Amino acid sequence: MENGQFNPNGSWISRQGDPILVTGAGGFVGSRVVDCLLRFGFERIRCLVRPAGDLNLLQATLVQHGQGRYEIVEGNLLSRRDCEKAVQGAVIVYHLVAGRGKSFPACFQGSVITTRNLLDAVLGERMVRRFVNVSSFAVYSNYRLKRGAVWDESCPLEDNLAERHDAYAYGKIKQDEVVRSYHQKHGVPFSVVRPGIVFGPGKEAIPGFVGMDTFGFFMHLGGGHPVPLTYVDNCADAIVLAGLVPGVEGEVFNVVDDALPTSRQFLREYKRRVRRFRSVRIPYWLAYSMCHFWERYSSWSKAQLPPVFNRRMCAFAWKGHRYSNQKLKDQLGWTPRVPMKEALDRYFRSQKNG
Amino acid sequence: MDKPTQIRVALIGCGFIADQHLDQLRHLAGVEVVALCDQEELMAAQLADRFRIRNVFTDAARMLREIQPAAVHITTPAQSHFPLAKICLEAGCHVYLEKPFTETTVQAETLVNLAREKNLRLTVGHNLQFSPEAIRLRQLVHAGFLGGPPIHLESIQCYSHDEPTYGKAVLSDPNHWVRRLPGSLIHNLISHGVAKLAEFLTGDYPRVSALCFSSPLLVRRKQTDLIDEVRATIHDDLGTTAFFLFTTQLGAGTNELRIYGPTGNLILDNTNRTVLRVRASRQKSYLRYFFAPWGYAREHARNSLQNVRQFLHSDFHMDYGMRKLMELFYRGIRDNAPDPIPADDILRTSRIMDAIFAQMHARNASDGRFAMKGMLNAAADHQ
Repeated sequence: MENGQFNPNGSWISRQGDPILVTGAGGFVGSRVVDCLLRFGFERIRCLVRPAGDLNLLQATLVQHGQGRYEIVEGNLLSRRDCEKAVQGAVIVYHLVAGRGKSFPACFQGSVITTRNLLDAVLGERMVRRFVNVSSFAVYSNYRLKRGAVWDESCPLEDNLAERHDAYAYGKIKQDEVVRSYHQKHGVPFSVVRPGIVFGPGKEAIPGFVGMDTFGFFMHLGGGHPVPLTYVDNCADAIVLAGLVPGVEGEVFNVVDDALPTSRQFLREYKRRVRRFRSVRIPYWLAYSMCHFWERYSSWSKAQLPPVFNRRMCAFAWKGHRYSNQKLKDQLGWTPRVPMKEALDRYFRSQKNG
Repeated sequence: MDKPTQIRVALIGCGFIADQHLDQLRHLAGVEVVALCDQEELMAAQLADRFRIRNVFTDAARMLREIQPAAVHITTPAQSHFPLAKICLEAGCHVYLEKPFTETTVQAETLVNLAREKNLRLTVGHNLQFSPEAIRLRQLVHAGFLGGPPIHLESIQCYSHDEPTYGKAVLSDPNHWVRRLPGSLIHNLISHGVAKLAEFLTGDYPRVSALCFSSPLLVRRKQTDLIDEVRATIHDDLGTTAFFLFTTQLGAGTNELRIYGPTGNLILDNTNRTVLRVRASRQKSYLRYFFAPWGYAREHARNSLQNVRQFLHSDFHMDYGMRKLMELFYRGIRDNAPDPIPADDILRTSRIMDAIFAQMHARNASDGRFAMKGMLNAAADHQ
């Protein structure tokens, strides 16, 4: 990919003047997707944002580009009418909206009902050449994957959602299913992008793959394994390409950057460059045993403590794997625009400056 | 009535609170959830998928006809509580209705009368009244700790707009269903705090004076069509007074009930699950200042130990209040035991809320300052 140039090989499925819809355009990744599209020279970008939503990130992006090439549309994807309005004339749809939090119905509603409504609107419009569904690493299950094995697009999807007890993962898996079913039943052309941990200025917390401070002190759980990071601009590039490159209908792309730091390296740098704090290293076998105990106690006590810590969740976050972005490079021609060293530098600086 | 071994239960409304209902119901003995209903089929399907329930409907009347459940939990937006509860009662089902009970007291009275006519059980999801600490408080009151009837009550209820699934959703959506309730945002929130007072008040029509306004946050956001601050004084037939405070401004949020009696006071803290017993100090002069605080320390220690003990007995669940309320509701159905929440308390809560909303609409909150235009009297309204 030659960054900043429109359609260097002349083969994209959309022209500069085609209307493009970005849902969740006000978000951390959505605003960078808009930025990427503007840099690529697209002239009719429709940014769908929530009514009364926080537009600071999007405004900061738009201010760097000329006016007249985008429109901001307020709408709620739970409203079919808003979906129809948003999709009108769109040739590519980048769907970044997701339900978040610990509530299963909230995640389901925010991820699945919204997607279903949007897809119905896409069917009615019949203009859309590609629906880019932004999914997540969370849909995978590495439970049966060996430690240290490569985690790529062939990794199985989570098949025991009850044990995993992860509302976000549940919503995202069901969202992917809805997209696939619309493709199978109605022929909606789609691609799926599954970013790892998206980081960058504006993202506050230390990634859960590194550790957590739930119990009042920081437990370092990631050990010496790579963290599947992707810098927000690199991730946005991948998402945009998944909507433009021909011949990738129905394909899934995992997004992780090159030169991933290990959890230990990340934490050490964070402490050195952002703030010092105490952390306790917990080996994987101990974390796994504690999660197993928690899971069993939850069941025995009739959910006095909900099973938020469980073996599948533990494996997902801390088992330790290598990650591949080969498919992304081979099929979409993606390369990380911001090298990891610089990405971390930007991130730590923004953390330091609050 | 025959004593059923397994009570067949259906649930209408598969949104956010429905998960908590099913989570509790699956741990209750003698209860089986047989059907779910939601206008949005996918929402019903996801709940059925996760809780392994076979029957899914999008039409409540059809579900009642085909499944014939013995009891129905209604967990829909409050606007539909009345019509849904009515058709359920008419179909001969006991009803567990989420809070707020109804939109108006007239609707509440209609449901209560219908349940009485049909000899059916009807309750409302005021589960905070059945939390471990609320039960301890009730026992102390009934054991005479106050030294007589309560003289004054105070209920403090805090709320944060940052709450992701509700608070932020309401503020960001001008068409959110909550905004269309007679009491708008607070209609869906204050019933817990008001119900705690209503339990210890007497008479059908307590007098209510309320001051309602928008918090500085809402003023800054230009959302003064929403009210999120309430200060209300309440006065019952026996002269017991009460103060209700609902606020979104306290960083160290709390949910408290304070009951003052002739010889003792009780302080219930739902946030930390404690009940403090306060008696007049026996020490004189300066000794009071040195020793009385130890009494408070002892009370806190006692609560802490009680909570730990209850946790170790696996009887300290996050939704303990809801589970206990359901347990009592179904015991009422099975064993003809008393209602967990008497109908009079439900109606008293509803009347106090109506009075607050009536005065809320008479407000003037233009630039963050507030003025109350007229004090209405709930009792006078009914006379």
